[in-house]
Amino acid sequence: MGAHTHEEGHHHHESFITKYIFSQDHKMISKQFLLTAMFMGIIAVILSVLFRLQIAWPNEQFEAMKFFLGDSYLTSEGLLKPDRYLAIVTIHGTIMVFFVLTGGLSGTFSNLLIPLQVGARDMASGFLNMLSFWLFLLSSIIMTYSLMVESGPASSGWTVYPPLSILEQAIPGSGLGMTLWLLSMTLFIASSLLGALNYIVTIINLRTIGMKMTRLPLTIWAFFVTAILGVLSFPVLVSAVLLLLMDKTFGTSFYLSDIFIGGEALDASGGSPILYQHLFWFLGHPEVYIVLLPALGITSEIVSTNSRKPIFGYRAMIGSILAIGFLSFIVWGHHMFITGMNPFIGGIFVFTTLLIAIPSAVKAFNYITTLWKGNIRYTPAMLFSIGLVSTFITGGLTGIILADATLDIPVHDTYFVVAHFHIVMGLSAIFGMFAGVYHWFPKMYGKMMNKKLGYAHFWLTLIGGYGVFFPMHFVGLAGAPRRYYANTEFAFLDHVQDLNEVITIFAIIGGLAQILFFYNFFYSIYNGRKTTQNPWKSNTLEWTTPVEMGHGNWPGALPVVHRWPYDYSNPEHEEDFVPQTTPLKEGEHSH
Amino acid sequence: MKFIIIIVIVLVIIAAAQLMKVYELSSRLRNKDEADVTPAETKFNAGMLLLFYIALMISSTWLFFHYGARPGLGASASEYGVDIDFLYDVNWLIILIVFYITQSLLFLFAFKYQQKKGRKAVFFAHSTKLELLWTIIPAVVLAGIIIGGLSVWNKITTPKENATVIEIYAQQFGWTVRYAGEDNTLGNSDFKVIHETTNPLGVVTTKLINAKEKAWTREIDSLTVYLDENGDLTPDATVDEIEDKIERLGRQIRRLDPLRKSQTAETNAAATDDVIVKELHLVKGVDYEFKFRSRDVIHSALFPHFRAQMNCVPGMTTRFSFKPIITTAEMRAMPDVAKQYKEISENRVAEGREPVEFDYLLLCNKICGSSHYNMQIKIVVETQEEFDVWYAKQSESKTFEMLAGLGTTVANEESIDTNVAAIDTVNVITEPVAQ
Ligand code: HEM
Ligand SMILES: [Cu+2]
Ligand SMILES: [Cu+2]
Repeated sequence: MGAHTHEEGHHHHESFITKYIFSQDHKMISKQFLLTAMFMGIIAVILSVLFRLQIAWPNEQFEAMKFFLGDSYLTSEGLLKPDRYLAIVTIHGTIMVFFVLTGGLSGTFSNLLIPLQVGARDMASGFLNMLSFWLFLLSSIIMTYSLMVESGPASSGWTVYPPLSILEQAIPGSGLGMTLWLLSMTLFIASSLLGALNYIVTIINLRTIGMKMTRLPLTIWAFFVTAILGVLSFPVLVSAVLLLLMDKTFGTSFYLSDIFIGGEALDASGGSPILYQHLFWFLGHPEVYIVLLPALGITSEIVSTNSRKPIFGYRAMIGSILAIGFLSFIVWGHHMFITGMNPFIGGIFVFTTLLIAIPSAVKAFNYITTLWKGNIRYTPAMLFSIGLVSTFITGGLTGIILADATLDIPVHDTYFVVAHFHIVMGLSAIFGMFAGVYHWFPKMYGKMMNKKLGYAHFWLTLIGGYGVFFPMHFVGLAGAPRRYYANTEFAFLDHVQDLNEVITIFAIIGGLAQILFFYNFFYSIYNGRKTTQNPWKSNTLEWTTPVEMGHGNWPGALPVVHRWPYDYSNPEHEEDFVPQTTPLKEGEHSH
Repeated sequence: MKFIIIIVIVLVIIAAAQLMKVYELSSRLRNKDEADVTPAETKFNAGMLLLFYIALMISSTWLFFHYGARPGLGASASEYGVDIDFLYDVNWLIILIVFYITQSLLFLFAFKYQQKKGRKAVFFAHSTKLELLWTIIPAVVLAGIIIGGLSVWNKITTPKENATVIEIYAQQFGWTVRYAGEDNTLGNSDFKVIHETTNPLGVVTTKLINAKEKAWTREIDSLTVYLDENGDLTPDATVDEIEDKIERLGRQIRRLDPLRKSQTAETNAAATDDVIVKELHLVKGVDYEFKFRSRDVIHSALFPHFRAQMNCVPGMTTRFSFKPIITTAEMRAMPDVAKQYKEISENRVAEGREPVEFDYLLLCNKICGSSHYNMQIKIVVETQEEFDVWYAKQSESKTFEMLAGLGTTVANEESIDTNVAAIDTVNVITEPVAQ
């Protein structure tokens, strides 16, 4: 326990409850976020495999459906009910985007790395940080519980467009299930906002001596811009969600107008369903960068460390993060080209959206150049980062089609879109998350994860991922709409049915491969090899803490920073890494 | 069953844990550090990177050649769709070139610069020249893409003059089509006067409003009389229900006023000749102006063969236009289409289902409820002569006035009222008033 004591800070004796449950230590909170997200991730992956089974073999019964979903989801013939198909697609998407890749990714790594990499003892407010996790947990529980309500969970897609999401007459999931969805999301947003404010304040105020903004690791820059995006966009989602809740429960009509359903003309008039879409996507597009930027930040760090080379174009990387962050607020209309919006405005959104491709291309090329003439160490984290760059390029390229209003017309809302956003979010961002776990596991648990299992996990996931989402583009190009319970009603879709079967097989492979990860993760927590202080020979500050860290991170004084974080293989130094705490040599100038 | 599965899973996990322990112990004995990547591991992963790269290149190329940019949809059946297809081809070409180059660089660098003992990486932190290069090149290429895309976009979103107007109306889970008639103008419509069978689109004329008002007034009267006579014997809940209904009918009547005010002789005339049908027939070579509406939730009208799509949003009218250039018959005769549908039919018959012929389809492409996956309508593209025959037949029985029971064939005012009233009782009062 000796390593736990330090002179200053808020160290005090901790009981089990304050250490593991109501912890205010950013490291513990980070683990709590990760475990919750992993649990939610399991649910979402299982749901995805189930609805893939339905799409590939729509007239067959599967034991798995009954096992996981229970009878209330099935027809009397034992097939999945059509509205429940929509329900599990909706919950899958919601969990993946918000709970795994927003709460899970930022919650885990912003929490873990911000204090450690800027040289702070904890977040600016430990209490708010703890609150943020508990709200997240509560919202996760509500979302999971909604799967079990009798009328079914929310079923109108993860975007919950009204009027479908408001009118119980239109789909049963828009009853109690939808109310729970809204409740859960409101808590979730509160959690995200508390987290994001904390991250911003910590990065601005609590950097240690010498840690100038231009010496921050790119992870921190990415988390910083992500948090700003969250603070600016989530409140808009809150208002969208609250108005929806009012339309649903108090009879207002913000989003409703001229509706005749169930044999009666509703009283609502004067609202606009399109208003909701504007509000939703004003968050929704920044949201995809909230999901992606942390993954890119993590990758920057890992690619540089494991190539034993400085990240190429550090300042250009910061510039492109900022540019992406800024542009992400003026492109939301690209989700709405087909809503009947003014074509001129559509044209403007085409322009702004394609502009984002420029900073994205800069990032991709900079990663590739970082590999060039490196000395690449294939850790599982590094492999996942390489996978991330590959899928980021692929997904970015198909984005060019969707950003172009003309080309979007025939593929909007088809499987082409599903393929595109999964390659970017479902593969790239998830790969970033895996990379982060493999890389910082030693920091989190003081143990090493097993590398061999890591390799098996990576290769199966990469093959499974590409196998699912690359062919899926062609299903979309053939005109197959998303959110279809079955493609059997349209003869022209028979053409791609064999592709759908192949996709499902890859999905099962990819899904099963995750068992390796979960197994490795939990096994290593208890039985992994003990780690050394700086296993990856890395420059950043988190590796200057002792393996067994107490609350407060550094036992003595806070480290002092003298240089940027990317002095790998610097010819002026003997070793191929130079920690940020190493003072400049005489005559050496800092980067 | 569940129990057995769980037991098996637990056993498998325990077995795996034991194996891992053995592995860990043996590597501990060999004193290996889990952080270091051994030469064997480097070799394995480098080989896999190369293998994966080759597989990715081959399979993506194969998919593109085998499926193409529009798998199974055939040539564009609309005029501007030809431009879209061309734009697709150009964009795919650019995208594929960039895809091959960047993925090759990525995987080959990742392979080539694998860790070697004693090698030190090159310290290369930035180069303004290179960074400018890959800012400017994408910018130029994207500018080209934007200009190409927007020029076609402007062309296809500009309404055509003198186009034939057709309304496409969506509801859970089907489509209704309204032709504008001789005057090429659709009559007004409003959701408050919708009636499921007689006026599914809620078309409005002064006559209809008057009839509705009379019918609803009479309904109120009869309910009031009923309450006066039987109020004491009726359970309270039912009385409340009836009172609610009276109130609602009153509200509905008041809501008719603004409708009445906006009707003119012209809008009445425009509505009278509208033809309302459940199939969409189009004439080859004619410009169409489609108007889209929805009754309940958002739907989206996707015409995959015409490369066209537009959302149908309750409370607003959206529009889109295109010109069909290939008739259904011509499409069926195209060799690739004929071959494809022959295969599809053979497979369907083998599975015990009906054979199919090629047809243009309009399908719903916005999540709208449980039968979203089967919300379709057939589109027939034909010659003017064929169309005229079909249309004349529809006009005999499916004009708005005939469907609504307001037609001139119904001679006296009184019987119009009864007709509408009978229907509206079903409409407004969904359950019987009292048992
Ligand atoms: C095992 C891996 C996965 C498979 C097989 C899978 C498959 C699918 C499929 C086929 C759909 C489309 C359903 C439809 O629109 O009809 C879908 C929807 C979606 N998925 Fe995944 N997915 C996987 C992982 C992920 C991940 C990691 C994410 C994280 C971003 C994600 C996010 C979404 C979202 C946002 C939707 C949209 C839901 C909606 O339409 O409302 N998925 N998934
Ligand atoms: Cu977007
Ligand atoms: Cu639909």
